[in-house]
Amino acid sequence: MKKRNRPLWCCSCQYLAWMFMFSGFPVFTACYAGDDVSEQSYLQDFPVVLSASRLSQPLPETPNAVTVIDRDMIRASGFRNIADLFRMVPGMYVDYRDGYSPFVSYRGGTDDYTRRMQVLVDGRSVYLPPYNTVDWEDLPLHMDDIERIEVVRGPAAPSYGSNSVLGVINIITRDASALDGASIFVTRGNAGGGNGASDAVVRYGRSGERLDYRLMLGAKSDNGFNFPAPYKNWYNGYNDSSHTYMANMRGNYHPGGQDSFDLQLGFSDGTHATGDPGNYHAPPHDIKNNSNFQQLTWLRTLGQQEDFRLHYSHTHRNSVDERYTNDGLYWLTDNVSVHRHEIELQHTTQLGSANRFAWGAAMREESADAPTLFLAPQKLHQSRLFANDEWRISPRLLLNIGAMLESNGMGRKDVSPRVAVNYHVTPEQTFRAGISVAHRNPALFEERSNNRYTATLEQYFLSSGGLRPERALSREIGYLGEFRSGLSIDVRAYNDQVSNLIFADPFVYPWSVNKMPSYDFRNEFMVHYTGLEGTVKYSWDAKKNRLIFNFAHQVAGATLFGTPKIMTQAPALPPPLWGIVQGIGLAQIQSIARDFSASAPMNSFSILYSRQVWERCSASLGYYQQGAVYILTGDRQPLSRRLDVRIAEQFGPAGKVGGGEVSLVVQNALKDSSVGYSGYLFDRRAYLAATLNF
Amino acid sequence: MRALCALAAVFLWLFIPAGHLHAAPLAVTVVLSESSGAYLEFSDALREKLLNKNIYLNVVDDPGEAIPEQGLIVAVGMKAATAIAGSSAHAILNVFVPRAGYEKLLHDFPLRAASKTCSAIFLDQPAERQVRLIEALLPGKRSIGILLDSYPPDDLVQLRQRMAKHKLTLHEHKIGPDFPLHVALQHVLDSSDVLLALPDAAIYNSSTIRNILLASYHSGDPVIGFSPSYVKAGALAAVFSTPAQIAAQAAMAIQRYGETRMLPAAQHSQQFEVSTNEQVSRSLGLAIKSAEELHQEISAIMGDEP
Repeated sequence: MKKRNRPLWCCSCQYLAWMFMFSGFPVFTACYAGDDVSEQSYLQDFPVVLSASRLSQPLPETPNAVTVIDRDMIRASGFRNIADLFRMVPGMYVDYRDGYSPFVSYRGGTDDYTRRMQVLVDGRSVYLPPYNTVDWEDLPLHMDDIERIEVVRGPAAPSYGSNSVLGVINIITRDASALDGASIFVTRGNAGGGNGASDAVVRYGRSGERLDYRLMLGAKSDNGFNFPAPYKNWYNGYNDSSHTYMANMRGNYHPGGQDSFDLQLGFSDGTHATGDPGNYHAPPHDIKNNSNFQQLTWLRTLGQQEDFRLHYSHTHRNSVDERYTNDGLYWLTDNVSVHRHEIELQHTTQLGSANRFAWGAAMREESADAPTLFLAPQKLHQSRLFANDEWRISPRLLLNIGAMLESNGMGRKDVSPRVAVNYHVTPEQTFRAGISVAHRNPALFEERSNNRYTATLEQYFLSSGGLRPERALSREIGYLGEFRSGLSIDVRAYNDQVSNLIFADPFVYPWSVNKMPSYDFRNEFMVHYTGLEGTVKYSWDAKKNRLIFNFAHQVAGATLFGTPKIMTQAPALPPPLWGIVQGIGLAQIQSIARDFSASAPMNSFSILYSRQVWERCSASLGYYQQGAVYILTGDRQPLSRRLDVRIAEQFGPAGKVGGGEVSLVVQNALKDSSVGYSGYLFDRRAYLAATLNF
Repeated sequence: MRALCALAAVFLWLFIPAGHLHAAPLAVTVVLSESSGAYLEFSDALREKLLNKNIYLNVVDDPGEAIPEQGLIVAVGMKAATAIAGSSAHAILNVFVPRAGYEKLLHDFPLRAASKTCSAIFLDQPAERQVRLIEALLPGKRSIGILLDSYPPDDLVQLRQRMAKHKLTLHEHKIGPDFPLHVALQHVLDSSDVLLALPDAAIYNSSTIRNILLASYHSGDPVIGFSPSYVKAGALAAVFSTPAQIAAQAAMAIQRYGETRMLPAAQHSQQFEVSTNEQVSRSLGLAIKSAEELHQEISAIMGDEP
């Protein structure tokens, strides 16, 4: 029996209840009931369900290399955190600063604030100001909400909008109709010692003629990592435990054949412990994060080949970080409140028999109120126009050509074009060549920071502004083979060049008391990446066995251009001292250019093998190896290896009340001494999880 | 004198060729179950086919209306067929009726079953045609899933036989109170490569089609429908007969009746069309033949259809 993880319309429900929509309209509107045999089934007219924008491009026709992480892979991996899933993407680097601060990076330039990938959840960007990063831990999203993740490896501005510079993570959650009934999911594990890790999630969903909806309520707590003494002293005693409550809801109302309204709401409330007793500015205390979002998508279908999609979303994130210095003298705050409103209209249509054309426009308003980061609340208005044509020149030859024109709200207008050619040598084998340009707009913090603690008279960042967007030029050739035997091969060679790379540039703030370096942001580097990466998948024995192998090899380099700010500013100290401080600042920025090549693993690979042991039992092994990495904040992450094992057994009636699954996951089963760049030890940990439909 | 006249009349009746006697227009009454859409399309196409054929065509859109006993009645749809079967009409040609519906009609009106003047052109396609479409369309996919509720048992037997003949594996999932549709659908998508939609109104209707098509698409499993509407909505392909094709076959049967006062045996529509959804096939990464090629391929091998 084929075992794939499809939209699991799981759990309890009575047939009649399912067949009646929520608002009580009868199901049998156009048919004879019971055993009457009628012609109505043959003559009944249906609306277009799979309209143009619902149909995604198949992998052999996409203009970029795309890795799809499906539900089978998510389940087989046994991962508990969404960020970890990207270990299954060739060339992607995942690490944690602490138990609740993962970062996901593609290519290099890795630091705590990875900000060169667009991240979307159902079309809503979760790449948030002021740093333009993703708060993975506080996304109101549970692993089981995810239908699949498409990771676009390469710039894709015409299709995915702003900031799709090095790649795009596009998380697609399950349809509102994917759940019919109720289920509970619990996890318990020994992560981080102490109380370990616990998750509990309750779901409920209903599906009807005109309205589908699903609800999720969840809580998770985690004791974080251990920071053993031999590593950084300042993390000794560091407490990185966290607990988060979350809820989300998705409803889809489709009153007639033409229109579909998709409403999503989400909320999360997290408390993260941070600080250590030896840290003057951050003794042990809690950070309280609160996020919510609302989004509405209206899809109007005008026929099989044409539709309009109007999408609005609002995202709010509030972070409260307040504490005294460890001597109890000064009250410090790092509070941040962010709002983003975005509206986008897209029209997709077929032009003649050979062209599928999508175009649209979007406007975005971002605001950030962060008294420690900015002198005053900041607001930004951005807008963009985009178009992409998929031109089928011949049955074998496909041309994707598109561009995005963006006004970044900081006085710049840039065009991000993309051209890709896909040639099907045979129906099973495709070669792809593409060239594209994309821009990353400066983050609000990069452009407008004035980051200081007034109480202690310390100035950390002070932006001089006027930054140009980072510009990525990407060239790639790829091969994709999807064979009937169950084998698929996806290989890609690329060369990316990013100019105007924005980086922190040290200088001495004239009014600084201690004359320690502060930082400006400047377009300081030009970097290049050349590499080869790919995925080989093989499934056999009616897909009871599945093997996925990812690999990536990359070389990177950076060139410093221009003159570091510290070399041009007026002396802030008497000459001999000033020379020393200048030397330190210059060395710091030169070291970034020198070490940039190590800011992504030169080699990395992963293997995921899953097997259906018997009808109700499945097992999987995941091995993940990442080469050593230099984190640009000055830390080094040694080579990390990890073997994860998962075994699961289903019980009761599958998909029905009383049915469910129990599973055991052991991470880092071989107990490789995996040490994070911040000094944490990822020791062996085990989780027991259970799902029950009721 | 009166007796002489009568004798002359009998003489004329005996010796005048039959064709001359039937030269009077054949009265055909078309009774529609509904006065809309496909029913009107059928009556319009039939009228066109019978133009200048010495046939007087009258279209009635109310099955309850009194209809003439003589002449031929064409009942369009089950509602009309049921009303006419119970009337005193002499000759009836039923169209737009599924085979199982016609069988049920004959069961309910056994006198009609014995009559040579009651026949039908079925709206559904023979199982062989469906199976051959799947083979021609998706040669690599051998595992076919179906969902069942009130699908006629005889049709199911036919389908099983045809699947077995072509060495296709049929996964049947019958829905019921303890096996709801969403669970059954999940099972069928898990166990099969293709979902074959059947004319089972308890499963496939306007309430359910959206979620069935979306779930199948997300699973990467194509749906094979049985009407053009399914293809429009998002099924990969369907084989069906159009109202015009059925009208053409009905016109031939009517003309034959006009000549012989006999109707051909009840049968499936000889003409059919294949419709495919290129966008869906492309998105699912399926390289399929064109509708014309598929039609030709199925037609070419239909000679051995029982």
